[in-house]
Amino acid sequence: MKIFLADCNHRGNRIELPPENKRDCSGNEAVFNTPWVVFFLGMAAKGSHRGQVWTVRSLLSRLGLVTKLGLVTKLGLVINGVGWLDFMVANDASLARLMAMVQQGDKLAYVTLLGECKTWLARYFSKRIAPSAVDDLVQETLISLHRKRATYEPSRPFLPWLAAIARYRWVDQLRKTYRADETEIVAELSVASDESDVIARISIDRLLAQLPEKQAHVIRMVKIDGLSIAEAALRSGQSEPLVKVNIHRGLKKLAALVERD
Amino acid sequence: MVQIDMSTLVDDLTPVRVVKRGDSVFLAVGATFIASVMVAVIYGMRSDLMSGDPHPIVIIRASLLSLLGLATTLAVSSVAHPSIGKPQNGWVWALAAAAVLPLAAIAKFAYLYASGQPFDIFMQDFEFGPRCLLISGFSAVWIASFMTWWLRRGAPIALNRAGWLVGIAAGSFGTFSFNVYCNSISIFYIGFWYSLAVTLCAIAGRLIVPRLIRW
Repeated sequence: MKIFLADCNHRGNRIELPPENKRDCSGNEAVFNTPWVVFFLGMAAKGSHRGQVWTVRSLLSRLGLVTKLGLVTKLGLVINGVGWLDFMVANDASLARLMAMVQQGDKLAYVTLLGECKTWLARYFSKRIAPSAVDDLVQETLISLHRKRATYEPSRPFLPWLAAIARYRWVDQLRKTYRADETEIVAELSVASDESDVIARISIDRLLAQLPEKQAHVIRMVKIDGLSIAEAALRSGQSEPLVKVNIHRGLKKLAALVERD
Repeated sequence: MVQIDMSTLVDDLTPVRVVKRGDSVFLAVGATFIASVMVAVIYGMRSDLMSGDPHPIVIIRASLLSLLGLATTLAVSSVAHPSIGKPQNGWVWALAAAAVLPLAAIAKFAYLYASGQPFDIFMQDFEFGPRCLLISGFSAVWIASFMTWWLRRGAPIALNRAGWLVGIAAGSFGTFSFNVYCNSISIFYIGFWYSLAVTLCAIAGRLIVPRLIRW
């Protein structure tokens, strides 16, 4: 059954969509039709509960309009694009189904899954690390997901599995930082301006608060404010070797704290 | 880091067989069975085991060791699957149950010491202890190698915990294998040497295994 849908917003006005949003999961062109979108929005408007979204999806499935998650996701993107709630965000059960298909080698499902995971991971890491490091960590986690996809058990929830892998990669990065004894600071962190930077900073402060003051102080100076070891030693009144030791010990404790959380 | 496009991952996608939790138990129990047979073939088997009427203390120590080995192996299988939430801690109870052996030895030792009785019974069979460590240790290495191989296929996220668990599981099963041959039924011997073997294996597991399973 071929679906023709028109590009429009919640008022039924036609809008211009980026080309990638006009493709369905098979790569065919999808045109959004006003009555359909009004129907979806009507259903969505009944509540913000995610369960209702998947009621829409199950209805679509019954009508034979959805064979893969892709179409619904694209609709979600369209609605997000015009400022509506992200009520089409895939839930855990859908991701679990996609992952089960991925384990059987379904590449189409994999494209959708990777896209959803990328978004989820970016949000996850943006609250925990410096914004400049988010992309690398998201990518590393996606590669880990790819390599360890056989360890996901389809009968269990997907997002805790993904979160556990993400946390492992995050802790691993902290450990590498600790071992590398880097003294360079990521410049973006010290000039935080946007919301994610602030959230990352708050998150780091919360962790640092759990360290002894001397360790937290030198980590803040060297790792966040970008001072050299010598400058930090001068300002803190600690010797240079002591500053290094405190940074080492502090980062090690931080890694342990993150692992425990 | 090297940037990898998502399409590369998609192109590389092949069907995979899900890593099942039961596989680790199957591997560990299989390796223990082979180790026990090897011990019996090389060193011989206890005569009461051969006759099918083992001494009660042999049954007790074998039960405790196999229970501890199974519980920790199940915990190892859980560690290999990433998840967030309460970890599987059933093995702690099995460990507590197995601690009865060294505690009984300490209690008996304290009683003999307090009552001024001779320690002859304490020293009985004691010279065979290093042999216990050696045979249990070799068996444990054999069993741990399978468990580590299996863990490498999984995605353990708590490496130190995995190391401890592999060490305890392999130590318990390794000592269980030795138990097939061990002639002693002295509580001092069992409480000291068996416990020492499991403890050393646990420490070795903690020190070695995390390096092998990091991903």
